[in-house]
Amino acid sequence: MLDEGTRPLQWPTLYQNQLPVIVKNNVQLAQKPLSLPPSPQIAQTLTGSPTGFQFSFKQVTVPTGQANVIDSYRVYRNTANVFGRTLVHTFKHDPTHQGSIVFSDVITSATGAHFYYWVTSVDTFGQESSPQAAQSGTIFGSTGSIPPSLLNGITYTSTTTSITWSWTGLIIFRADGTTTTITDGNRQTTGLTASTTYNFYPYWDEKTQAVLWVNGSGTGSTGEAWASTSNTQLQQQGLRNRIPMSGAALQASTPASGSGSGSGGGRQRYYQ
Amino acid sequence: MRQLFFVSEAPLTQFPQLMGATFHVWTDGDAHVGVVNMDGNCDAEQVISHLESSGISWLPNHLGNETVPAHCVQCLSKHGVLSTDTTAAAMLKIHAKAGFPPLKPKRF
Repeated sequence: MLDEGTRPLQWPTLYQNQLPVIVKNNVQLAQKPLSLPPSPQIAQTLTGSPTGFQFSFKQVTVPTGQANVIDSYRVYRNTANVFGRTLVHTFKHDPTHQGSIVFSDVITSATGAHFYYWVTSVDTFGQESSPQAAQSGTIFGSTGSIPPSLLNGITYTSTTTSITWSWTGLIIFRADGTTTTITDGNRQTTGLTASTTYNFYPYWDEKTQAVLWVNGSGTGSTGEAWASTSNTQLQQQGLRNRIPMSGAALQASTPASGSGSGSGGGRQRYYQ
Repeated sequence: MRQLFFVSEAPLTQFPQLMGATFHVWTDGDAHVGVVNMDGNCDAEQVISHLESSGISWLPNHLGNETVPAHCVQCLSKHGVLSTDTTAAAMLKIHAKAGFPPLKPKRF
């Protein structure tokens, strides 16, 4: 009768006339590797997603001569760019898995806070590698995903050479039910040509928490007045962490004489 | 997009926020001449109701043959608008004077 936790070894028939050898199931018999397992390599650095953050990492292939047997991978998260011991997920090592392992973190409290991630590998002895950072810098999180709400209160006045946009009482209504009140403000572009219609692409910038305008090679003192509409500018206006303040370009015109004014296109989906 | 032209003796202190409606107004300091650009989501009746409730005179469809109402002609006469002018003719005269692109009547 064998004790619980013991098992007979199956010997080749050559030694069948010998007594069975009993081996205790004791992991201490296997030698613990002297070195820590290698850290996983990041395949895709951390990016923001509409609902949180995402990155991917490669499973570890232990170098020849190193005795570690990889068991799992641990993902840690912190709100500062300092490795913290808040374990958010564990992946089991799977040699049959093709490609990188993708980790997606859903951050339900959409506050726009920053989150940082690290991944480690763990061997069968519980030894853990040094942490591998998933990010190369600060990644901004989404605040409430794409906000389906309305725009109100953006108007302009114009002279023969300038256009001034003003906005009052704007509130962003976000998809998660939260709102963001935008401070009233105005933006003047001078150095414009009379009797011309210009296109503008304003957006709410989540990083700076301010109303900004797509600029670059536009005309006028700000570089934000575009003589023609452009899909490129429209795309810039709607980049991640930017909430477009118009469904298309906002148009304003300069007169040849007198003065002009107008509203910025009625309601849009994002603001009120 | 449809255009609805209007004339006001008083300045527009606040533009209504109506879905799909964009307002552009030009003034020489006296008359205020404007246009509402209405996209497919805009309820024209809502725009007209708003203009009327604000004491603003809206002009007939510029693609038709209706002439500009007498009280609007009076307001725009300094810019050469006549009582026989249709909205399109009147707005072409205003546009030539103002050089304000939105006031140019579109052909379609």
